[in-house]
Amino acid sequence: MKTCLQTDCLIIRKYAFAELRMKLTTIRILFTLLILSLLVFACHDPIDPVLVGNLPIKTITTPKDNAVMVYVPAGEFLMGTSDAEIEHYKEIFPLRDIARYDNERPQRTVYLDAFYIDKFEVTNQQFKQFLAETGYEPKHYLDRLPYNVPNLPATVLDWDDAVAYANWAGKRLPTEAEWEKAARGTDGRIWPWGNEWDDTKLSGNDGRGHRDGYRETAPVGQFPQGASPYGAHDMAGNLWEWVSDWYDPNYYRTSPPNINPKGPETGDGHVLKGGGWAENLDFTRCANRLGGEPGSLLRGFRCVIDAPLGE
Amino acid sequence: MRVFIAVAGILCAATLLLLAPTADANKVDIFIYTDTVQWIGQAQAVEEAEILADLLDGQDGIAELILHGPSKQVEKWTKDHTVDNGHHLIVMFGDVPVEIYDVGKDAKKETVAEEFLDAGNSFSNSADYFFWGVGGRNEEAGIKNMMDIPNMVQWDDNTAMKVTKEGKELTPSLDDYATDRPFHLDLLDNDWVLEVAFATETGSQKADRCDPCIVHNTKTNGRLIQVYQTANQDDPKGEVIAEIILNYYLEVVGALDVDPQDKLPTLWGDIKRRR
Repeated sequence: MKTCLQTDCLIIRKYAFAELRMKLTTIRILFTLLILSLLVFACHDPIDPVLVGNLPIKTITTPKDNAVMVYVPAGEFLMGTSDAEIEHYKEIFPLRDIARYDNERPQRTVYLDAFYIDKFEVTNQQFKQFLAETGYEPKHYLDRLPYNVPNLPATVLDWDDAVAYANWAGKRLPTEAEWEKAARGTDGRIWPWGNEWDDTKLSGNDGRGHRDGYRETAPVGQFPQGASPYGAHDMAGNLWEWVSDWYDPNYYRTSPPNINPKGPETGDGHVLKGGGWAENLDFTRCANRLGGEPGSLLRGFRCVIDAPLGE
Repeated sequence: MRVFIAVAGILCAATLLLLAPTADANKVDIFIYTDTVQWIGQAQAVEEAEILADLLDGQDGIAELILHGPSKQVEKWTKDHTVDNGHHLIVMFGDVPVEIYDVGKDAKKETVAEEFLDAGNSFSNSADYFFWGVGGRNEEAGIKNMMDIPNMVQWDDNTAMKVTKEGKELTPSLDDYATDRPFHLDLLDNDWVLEVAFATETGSQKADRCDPCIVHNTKTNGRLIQVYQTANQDDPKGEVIAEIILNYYLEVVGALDVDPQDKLPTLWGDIKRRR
């Protein structure tokens, strides 16, 4: 047993008290911070991107196509466009016909199971690996300059070609709901990065060329500051993206299911989301949807897989 | 002898009447095509075409008006109207029929559509990109080939268009709006020039982007009339196309029964002077 002189013990006890006091103070500070954080969290405006903007990004890499995928947890999110947003759009897109947004209304809360989505659009390198391994003959793939550079997104104009790739990779195309949640998180934000337009956060030339540093499409992942809350890149701009749903402009008004919706039974072509390099502002909104004959919309895709149960 | 002179006189007069140019000489034939469309629903294209046809029906300067001309008829009609200084017009809604433009992206081959344009006729287009064929068969090559301008593109969505002074006068149904596939005037080359812009990004004839507007080939007299190249938007396409044809096109191609010394130079000359 350690002994000490009276004075030494006093000093040691003094130090012990000081240490205890310091610990208590630290605990008090931490507790106060915790309470404050909870208060801030509870009082936060639900449209603030901070809510979902800094989530830790969980990723996996799939072996077949060597694609990084980001995790989107199960839960609800806001899909489509609300009447309040329409009023806002009247201000930021004053020259647009409001009827243009009818196919995005009404906004509703949708629940989705957890899934993983490709962090980037499928590239030419990946798409050509699929073609080489399977001998598949695409119906309409732009295998020519300036579109077919390996790290550019594959410009796959035909929906069937995108589905064929997804099947080969052991994946599937996202539903429209999955795509929109992966792009905008849970808070109904307008663009993947938030509610303010910022043309430095996406591949978009506005037709004038080189404004973003690229004449047409950009190599995937060049605009990390424009990534979605879950870490998916290029959800706005670069190429329009195919989803699995058929397109029906009136679908949202037919009270579709609010749990894992898969779109109408049939429709006028398939839905395209996200806008492309030639589009800006309005077309690149997460809720924007086009269908029918896509015409001059240049399009690609990314894939999803279901998250294992319990994740 | 008097009877002979009278009969001869009547015969001469009749011959002169028969030989005199008819009022239809410069009249315009119009083929409105809605069989295949892009960036506009078929039903909406049909509705706009019918609005257009109603406004054009029976108007001076128009000889033949074909509404919803089927694709099997368009090739023969186009070939029949490929005559010098024809000034005839095909109205399209986002797709050039494959029957008259079947070469896809091959720039070397001449098409029925290009021969029609080169003969001094015109195309009007609304909704998607000018000469972008359904299924992406032409892509950007469509307009490049038709105009023989290798750099011509029509990208540039959400470009604000302000109605010009000429637009206010000639196309009263046109308001400021945003276009998605404007004409890139800064890329015009060879013999192509802007003839008149009804709306531009600047609100004047001096601009890099326009829609609606007419570009004119000064060598062949062919014209491209672009009107509301927008996606998913409910614009008054039929009305504005009709106003452009009735208030401008028929006069400028000399289709109206007016003294060419009088009305025609007034309109066109006035517009040219203002630039």
